[in-house]
Amino acid sequence: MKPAVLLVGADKGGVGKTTIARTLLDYMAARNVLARAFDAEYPRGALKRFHPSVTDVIDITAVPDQMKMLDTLTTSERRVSIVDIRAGQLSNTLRAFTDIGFFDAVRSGEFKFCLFHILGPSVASLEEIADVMPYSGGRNYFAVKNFINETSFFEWDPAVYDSYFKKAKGAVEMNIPKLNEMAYEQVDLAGVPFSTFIKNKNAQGHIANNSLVLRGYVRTWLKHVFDEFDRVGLIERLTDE
Amino acid sequence: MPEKKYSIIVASPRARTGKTLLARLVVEHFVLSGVPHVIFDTDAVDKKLAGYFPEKTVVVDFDRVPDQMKLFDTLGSPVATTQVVDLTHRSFRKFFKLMREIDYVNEAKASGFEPVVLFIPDTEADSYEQGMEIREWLRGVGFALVRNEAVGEPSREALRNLSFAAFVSNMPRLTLTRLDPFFYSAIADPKFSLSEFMRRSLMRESPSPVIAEQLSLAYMSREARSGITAWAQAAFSEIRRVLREVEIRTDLLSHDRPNA
Repeated sequence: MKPAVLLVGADKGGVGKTTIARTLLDYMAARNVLARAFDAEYPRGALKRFHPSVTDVIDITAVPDQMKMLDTLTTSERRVSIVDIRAGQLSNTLRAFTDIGFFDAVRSGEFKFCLFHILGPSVASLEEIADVMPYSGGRNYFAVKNFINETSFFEWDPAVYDSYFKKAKGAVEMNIPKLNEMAYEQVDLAGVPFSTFIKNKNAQGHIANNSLVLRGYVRTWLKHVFDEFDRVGLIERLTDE
Repeated sequence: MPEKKYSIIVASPRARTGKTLLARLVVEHFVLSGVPHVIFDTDAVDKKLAGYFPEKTVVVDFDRVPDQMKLFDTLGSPVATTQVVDLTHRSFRKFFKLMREIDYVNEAKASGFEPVVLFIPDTEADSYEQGMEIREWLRGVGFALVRNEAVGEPSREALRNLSFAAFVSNMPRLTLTRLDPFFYSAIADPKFSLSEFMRRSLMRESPSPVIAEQLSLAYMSREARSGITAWAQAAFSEIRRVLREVEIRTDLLSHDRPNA
């Protein structure tokens, strides 16, 4: 398969980018696709904490770090690179990628590219769609509504929401369902991938002492998230020639 | 091989079908057979079962996640013992849905527990349908249909229902005979210990010296004593028989499926 870059970003913090990036890493592993991750929350990465062995923390505005990521796309055996963009840096990152000529390479079929745009609850967030979507060439653009915690309510008027989406032709909507808060916190404390928590293992691979109930909640939730990735045909989008 | 531990769930989609009475009988059965156990009363409002066994009952409010953990997470503990769960009809669906979602059955079996659902329908077809749905959710779990004579005969509509037919044709059945209401009022007293009563009655011990807690016994007629004894003996032997039957069936099932 061709090397693929999956950008996860939002122009606002606290909408759950890292959570989505984590589920993507779990999903790729579950579908036997080797993936690596770049955590652009330089200097301290949240993603790195959960997936230390496959994650590099980078400063996406620094040229050496851009090289570290993009120049290794074709050589890395891990064909999928998941990039967790720092809050507010999505537009900047997309511009930088344009300057580098990354999107030309995507158009010429050298790389695959998916953009996961995590929407915030405000209408301003919908306006970003028009700014951000053209970079993806209109194809693999995912507008993600994250319901993982109750704080992420959406204040859009349905008519307004529809009008934004009409303009964004080809955009794929995705919903990340709610996860029980206590379960979410426990995984956070454990500092391991969701799938590891479910298997009742700790970061060293030893048997952990996670609650059966909370593991159950995480298992069911993660399955729903995977179903959502399946529904939009993520793997097919990455593997078709 | 260590003694098999049970996780017995007494459940009904309806109120007033005899859940607490059956749960109480199951507990007393374990008391008399010397099986260590713990009790969960999921009716955080009435706590009826907890009233009979205050010192060994955990009252859980199933709407709260920490309480769900108290109940289901007990399994992993090395000191875990047989559990008896009196499931309130208010949490009926929620409980089994969660049980399915957290894959309780496989976890329980992996820790040496045999989950058994003692399902009590009422007289209507709908309760059989709900029971059948739960049964579908929990494949591989011991399931017994409880016929509580005090609840009454299935309605004509129920008799024609497919779920009813499925239940009656291929499931172990536990019959709870009707106890005379007058005798029932004697054992309904939270201070009345059935196991203690049975021990004394089987050893032909007179109720004296009278213990304060067993005061009502002293005033019980010979007829009442023998009526209750016969009723309880029948119930205990039904419980024993059904647990054995359920175990044989689930063993057969797990042999059928090598990867189970």
